Amino acid sequence: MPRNSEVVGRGFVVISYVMLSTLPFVYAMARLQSVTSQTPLEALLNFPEAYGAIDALRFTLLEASASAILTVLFGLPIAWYLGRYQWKHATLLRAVFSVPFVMPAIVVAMGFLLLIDQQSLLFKAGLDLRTETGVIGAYAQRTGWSHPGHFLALIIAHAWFNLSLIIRFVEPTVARLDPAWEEQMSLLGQGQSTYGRLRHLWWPVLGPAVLCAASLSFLFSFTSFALVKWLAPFNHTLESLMASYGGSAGIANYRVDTSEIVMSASIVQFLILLGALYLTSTLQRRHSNRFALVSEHGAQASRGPPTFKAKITVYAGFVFALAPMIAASTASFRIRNTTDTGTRYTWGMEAWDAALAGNLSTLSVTEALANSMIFAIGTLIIALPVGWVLASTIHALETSNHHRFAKALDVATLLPLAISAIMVGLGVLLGVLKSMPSLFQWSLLPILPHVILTVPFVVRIMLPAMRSVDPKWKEQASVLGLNPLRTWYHGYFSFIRGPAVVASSLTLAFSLGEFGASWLLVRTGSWDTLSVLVDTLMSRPKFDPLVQPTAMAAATVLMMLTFFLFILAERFRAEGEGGGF
Amino acid sequence: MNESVLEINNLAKSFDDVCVFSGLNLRLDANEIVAILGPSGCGKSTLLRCIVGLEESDQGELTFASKRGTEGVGYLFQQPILYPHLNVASNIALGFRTKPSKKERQRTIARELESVELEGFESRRVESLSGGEAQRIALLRAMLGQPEVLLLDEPFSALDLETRRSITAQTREWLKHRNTAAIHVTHDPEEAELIADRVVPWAALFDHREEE
Repeated sequence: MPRNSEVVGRGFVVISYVMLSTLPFVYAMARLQSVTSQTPLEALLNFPEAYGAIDALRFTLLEASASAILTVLFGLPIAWYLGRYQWKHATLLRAVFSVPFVMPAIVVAMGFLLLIDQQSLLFKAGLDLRTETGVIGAYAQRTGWSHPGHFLALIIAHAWFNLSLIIRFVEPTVARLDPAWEEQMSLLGQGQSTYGRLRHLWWPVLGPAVLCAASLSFLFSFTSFALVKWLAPFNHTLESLMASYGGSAGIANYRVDTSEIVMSASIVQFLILLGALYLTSTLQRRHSNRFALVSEHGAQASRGPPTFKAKITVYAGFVFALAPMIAASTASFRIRNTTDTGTRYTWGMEAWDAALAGNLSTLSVTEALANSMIFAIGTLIIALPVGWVLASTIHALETSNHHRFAKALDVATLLPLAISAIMVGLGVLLGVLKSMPSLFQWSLLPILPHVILTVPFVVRIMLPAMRSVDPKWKEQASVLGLNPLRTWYHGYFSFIRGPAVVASSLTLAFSLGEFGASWLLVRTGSWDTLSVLVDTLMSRPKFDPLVQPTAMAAATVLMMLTFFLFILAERFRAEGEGGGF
Repeated sequence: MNESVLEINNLAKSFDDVCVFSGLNLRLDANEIVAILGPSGCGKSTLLRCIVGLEESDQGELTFASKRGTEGVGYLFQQPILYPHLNVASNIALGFRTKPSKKERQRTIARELESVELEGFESRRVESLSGGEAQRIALLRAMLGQPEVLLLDEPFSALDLETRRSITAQTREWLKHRNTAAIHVTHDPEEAELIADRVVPWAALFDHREEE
């Protein structure tokens, strides 16, 4: 029986979190409603009339769907081969394939910009995705489709970003499915052909995981902001539309049209994302381990070393996963040198010197890094205990047969993902402006949206871990005469220590790389984060040859930090753990 | 002398330089049930896996009388592998070599279930089956493909003694009724006697003549 104080404590955290995560949206809505004099229903009905909204919705749906499909096409073969065979340096391969998901979007955008610019191999091969000349230009002219190159670059970047989703969901099942199941199927009449085995074995086993990863990929591509801003600058998604009008929205008697656009777009986006989340959560329940799983090493050993096709697929994926990161780092050492005779590039450390000294009238990289770290640590200090309490409350409700409450709270913890970073940032901005304008000067304000955005991930990592702890360990520890703290440590905490480290690393990484909400809240001033610093530098005209390399130096620092955190998290992941986001 | 359905000559198999067997010979006649009796870990399962093509042998010859080759071989694993996303009827239907009409499928499955005293089990979930029921379903499914040879890899070893005896006897009756040849591997002499026309000790497979 839980003690009363425990129940009160849990209740307080749950109510506070639900309020914290929904209030920004409610605040934003209330504020927009008072400025526009529209009810949410009216705003929804007026959506088609809002300037640019239909085009943004069409583009968002198209790019998110195409990105989800491309993610599956890229990721599924890699996940398949990675799971089926024993690879040398498997941990490194997995880390490299997983890092894209936690990589700051702004860094990814910079990496992809370099991969498609006029110095790139892709450009030299005749595929100009940036200025859209050559084949792409001809295609655009023939079809009348404006900026197909930008669209292609965007969905490839999204597929890169979401690659780890499909690998994390699919690979562990492929790796651990008892080989006897596959052998049995191949010996049955209906399993003689590849199609038969796909239909009767692999699709039932992997289908829910693939669809779940695809729907999450759709969701993240739908709310993508930095990549759209930089790779498809002439198109708007609903998220970037809200961001671009967000600055003037919510102010009474000033540019009311922008408030109308933001209100309509946010409601439509919220409804679509809620649908996608519902689908994801349904598929995640179906993606349960009903199938006989064996040790990953045992299953892989039975299939022998990787085949040539497997090596080509996995190593090509490895190069694809590393390419934007290497491009960004390399560009930080490459300085443009324009003379009368033409433009040449030289290698040097000037951009790093400028980045460290803050010579380009921005914060120095170390100052921005310190800001990012302060926000990230602040976020961790709040998000980890809050997420922990939420996850343990859901688990306690499940074990006490309050399944409906458990499910409701589970869905409530996912809500911030349906609201999106821009909306959370906007909600905090508008809410603070309305209720306590003085708080707007508070430098730690970005921690609030970061907490809202990272708690769902903490819950998603901690909840399965808590579910898997057998209560008999705690019972055993308690009958050994240990004190309560040692009972808790040996009978419970030691089993979820690994996932807690994973959750902490990912919370830090997500907070460090968060861009949308930070961009809205700390756009100017001395509290720029690393991701905002990269964006600020890249938004400048590039007359000064050091601007772009300096931005890349800042991006490299952010990338290395994220990479280190992720490698740390990987060391604590259990064997074959999948879907751990 | 009966016509043989399978002849194994001088078969050898090793894993990572560890020899599992070498110089193994066996002849299986039409409609004959052979039980291979040997201790756990001696390589009985590996032999069956080589016969059905799940493992590649290093040396020797496997000659099937039928043109279907390994496609005409059915296999019953130690644990009944029934897929939990399918009910009993759909699990059995996986054994059809060609897709029958819906009516034909229903009729055949009902008839087969009746033959093993499991009538009305069509829509049951596989998790709800007992070990004996699950193994009989797996047997039905393997037989649906009309194999010329059925390989039984200690499929009843996990069952309790009474169920094991009854299911072993029932399987023999069933195989005889359908004129299907079978190789049954086991470490249990009683089970071997109960099912087989001929019991071959593992060691005897390495003589040039098999001892009965």
